[in-house]
Amino acid sequence: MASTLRPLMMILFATWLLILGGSVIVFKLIVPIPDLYEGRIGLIVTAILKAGASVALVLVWVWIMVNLRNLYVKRILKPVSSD
Amino acid sequence: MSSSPFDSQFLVLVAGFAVLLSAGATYVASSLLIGLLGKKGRVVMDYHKKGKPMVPKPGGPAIILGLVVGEAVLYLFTQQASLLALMATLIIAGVIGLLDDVVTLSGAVKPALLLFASLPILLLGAYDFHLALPFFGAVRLSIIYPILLLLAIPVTSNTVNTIDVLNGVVSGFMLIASIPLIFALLLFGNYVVAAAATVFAATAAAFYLVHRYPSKIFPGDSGSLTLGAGYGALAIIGRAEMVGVVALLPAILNSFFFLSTVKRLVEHRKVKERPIVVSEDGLLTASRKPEAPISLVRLIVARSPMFEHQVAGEILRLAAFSAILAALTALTVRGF
Repeated sequence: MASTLRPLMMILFATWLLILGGSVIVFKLIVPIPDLYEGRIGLIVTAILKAGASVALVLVWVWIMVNLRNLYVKRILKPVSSD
Repeated sequence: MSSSPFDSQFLVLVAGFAVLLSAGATYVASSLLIGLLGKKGRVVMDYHKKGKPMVPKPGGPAIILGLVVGEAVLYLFTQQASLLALMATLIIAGVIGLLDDVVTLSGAVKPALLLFASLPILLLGAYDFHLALPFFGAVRLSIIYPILLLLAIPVTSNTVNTIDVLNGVVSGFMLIASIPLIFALLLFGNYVVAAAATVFAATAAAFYLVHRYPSKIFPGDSGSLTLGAGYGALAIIGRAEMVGVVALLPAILNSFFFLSTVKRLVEHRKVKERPIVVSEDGLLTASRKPEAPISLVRLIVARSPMFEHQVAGEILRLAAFSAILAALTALTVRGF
């Protein structure tokens, strides 16, 4: 039983670390970025850049999760499937 | 919220009464529903057992009743508007769930309707747009938080709905997930919401008694959507969003795995290829077809086939592991 759950627990733990790490990057690095230019245009450009960077981070998060899933499936589910 | 010793003692007494009332109401209503639904022929096949017995469904009304009665008692004594928002959310999600139990809503209509369950929290202002994050305190999200809140209840409801796959899983899972939430709420000093979360745990525990293997009744979508909406609402009004997300991780991963293989919002009953195969003697085996969706149960039985109660036990162990991570998250949030 423990061997069945260990890889899934590792995926859960990795997901937890990704959530914590992602929130640190978004709110500690991306959100405090100062306006790139003076005035209204600078405000809008900076906001778009921040939103873009956050979306990119989410996409990286999804990419990592899909790869973790594929790794698990390749190692554990595929041998069963190819019987 | 209750700073003086008298207030604290009073709140503990009221919470104790609300917990007993909600657990009692849930258990008695479930027992009555088992007989009533059985007589009316409102039963469904339990696919994962030898002989495929018929089981009454839905037990959701008992869950809705237990939760609303318990939270109403807390509201009467504390007069906190956030509890009104919680009750309204529970009732709206419960009604949508009942509708789904009767007519089976599509995979896209259900989350759309559940947006209405978020509205009471928004309209009664039962939220704080300062999101409490681990390690570096709260972050002001005055524009994006209400948008995220609107999506939060449909997401938590549907996520919890997707793990209602085996006997005792959804009720046991919500009971375990509510423990770190109560811990976090006590740690953050949100004592009234902690009492409301204890009522939630008591309802889940009472329903687990009739839902555990072998199930005497299934919660149906009315039960699972109500539990999911209630959990999401508690995390929001208690400012323990991150803790709630981490505690629900096994269910979130289950949804993520499913959606990333099916690649669309679809009602799980309408998926052609099943992720698992059930043998005549009730042994659950991972599907060998590559087009079958990936689910938590399929991954658990991938190494070796298991019986239903064994898989349910494994899912609850994963829930316990996530609950520990959620409690650690609460400590990192509290630390700053």
